[in-house]
Amino acid sequence: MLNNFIDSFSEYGDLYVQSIRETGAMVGISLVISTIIGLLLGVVLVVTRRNNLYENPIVYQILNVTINILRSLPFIVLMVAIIPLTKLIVGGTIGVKGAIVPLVVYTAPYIARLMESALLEVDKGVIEAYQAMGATRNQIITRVLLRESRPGVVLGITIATIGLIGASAMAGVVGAGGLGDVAIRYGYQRWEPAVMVTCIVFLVLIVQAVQSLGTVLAKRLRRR
Amino acid sequence: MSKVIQLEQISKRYYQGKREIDAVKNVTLDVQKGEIFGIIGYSGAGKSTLIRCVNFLEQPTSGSVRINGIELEGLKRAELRAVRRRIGMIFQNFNLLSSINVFDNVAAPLQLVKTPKEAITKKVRELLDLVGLTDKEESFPHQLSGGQKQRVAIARALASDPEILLCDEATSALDPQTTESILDLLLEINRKYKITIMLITHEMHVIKKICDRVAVMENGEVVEQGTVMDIISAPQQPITKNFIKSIFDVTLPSVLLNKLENDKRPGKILRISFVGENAADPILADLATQFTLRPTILYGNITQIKETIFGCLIIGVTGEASAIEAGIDYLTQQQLRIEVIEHAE
Ligand SMILES: Nc1ncnc2c1ncn2[C@@H]1O[C@H](COP(=O)(O)OP(=O)(O)O)[C@@H](O)[C@H]1O
Ligand SMILES: [Mg+2]
Repeated sequence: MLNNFIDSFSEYGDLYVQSIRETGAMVGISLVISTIIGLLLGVVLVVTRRNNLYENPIVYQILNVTINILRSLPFIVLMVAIIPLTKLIVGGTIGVKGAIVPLVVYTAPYIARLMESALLEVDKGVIEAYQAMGATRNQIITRVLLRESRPGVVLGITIATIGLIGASAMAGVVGAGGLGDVAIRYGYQRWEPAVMVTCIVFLVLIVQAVQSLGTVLAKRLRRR
Repeated sequence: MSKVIQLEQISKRYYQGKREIDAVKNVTLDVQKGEIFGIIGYSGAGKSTLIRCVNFLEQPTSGSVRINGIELEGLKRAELRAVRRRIGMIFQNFNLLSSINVFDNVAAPLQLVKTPKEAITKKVRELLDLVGLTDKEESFPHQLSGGQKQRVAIARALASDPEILLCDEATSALDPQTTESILDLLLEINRKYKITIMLITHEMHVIKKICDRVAVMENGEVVEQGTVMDIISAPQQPITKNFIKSIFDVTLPSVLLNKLENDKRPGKILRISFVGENAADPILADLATQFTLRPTILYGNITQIKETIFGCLIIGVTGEASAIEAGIDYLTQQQLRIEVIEHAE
């Protein structure tokens, strides 16, 4: 058994390095874009609520429903469904480039929800104190909401990253490569259990690392 | 004296589903420059709603709020912010930002208006010195005690040099000793910076210790208002009497009452309230020598209201009816408030 692994490593070493890079690229790029969009939407979801800074039931409801719709689609379905959109944005549907659009469309609404709940955790009293001292609405968003919610935001992004790693494994279907793709093609289709196990081990390690990093960072930010 | 805060016919109605909640009903009151004005009432009386109307954190359903003569209704956002910067506010739960340190918390109002860094540092140090937290600049709120947090909140509220300080149950989350020190600090701020203070509380002790005038709130309405001395020495409403009982019990203990009920000797029971210098006059001796009455002390209580001594003495006097009348007249002439207590108070 051990020999199998060693053989598998010497045979496919480059493949693993390559596939980890691909996974890293897909997850990294999609995460940055999704976080920017998700955080923005999360803020909009919170401030357009009733009795909030920019109360606006129409904007809130449209956003709320749209996010719910996107969130109800499994990644594999979403990916296929938005092929035209992907083509339009990146000019093709193949490779890492082709995977990023569906990954963002899948992850951004998820992050928006996670950000929403993190922002709602912020103490109303603190917001009120800033209103009382004459802060503008935008100052309240940047100086109170976004600052006080940092631990929750970091935890949310951690959760989203792990979800993203999972979804990225399915992006192999469009030829984006990555660990998931290797696991399917070599581990399953060619029936090489050593490759399958190696991919699983890598995925587990990456997820563990991401979670630990997120937890530690959030703990540092949480000053309570 | 000028009126810094003028509330006229303020009402606030909330809707909870179909239910209407009248949190504040037709409240009219003025706060004078430099005074400490207290509002006392039980939980749910509408105190927080009322004080939040003063800086328009809550917009009244009807009525007028004027700050230094400026009507807040109809102000543009920027104008309202300018008014709010002249009004500091502190809260029961301190409401500090947990993610930034003490220095930055105190600096917040100055940073909002882009004050130069050196000016901020100077001001923050000065305020931390005032509230006695010079060594806590770098600490985060969670590393401080409740009293220290409230001191930080006070420093923050004073950073923009406000004319008015609003206090929403500022000491209600604190233990008695810490409460004392925070009240002392508020008094010092009031005197040193001539800041007008409006505070709300459910503790009569707070009113007695630092307020000049007080309004009593019940079910959204102000049921009684006046100087603290007047309210304590002659409360009119049952709720006011209840509050006063908590700091200064002027009712006779029941054991004593029973004994008096069965006392058949001719005479009267008097409650004598005295304020300030009168406290030292030998009135009992005078009653005995000038009117040949026989006064007996039944019960006494003395307290300090802000700087003034206020006392209350319940005495029994026996003697001829006419002499008793003359004695009461004499006491009244001494600037004492006399009440004849019929039995069973
Ligand atoms: N935002 C709100 N919505 C509905 N009802 C409220 C709201 N704020 C306060 N109330 C109600 O108004 C009444 C007065 O509340 P409040 O001003 O907080 O009283 P106090 O500060 O004297 O305890 C209470 O019955 C409370 O439930
Ligand atoms: Mg209250």
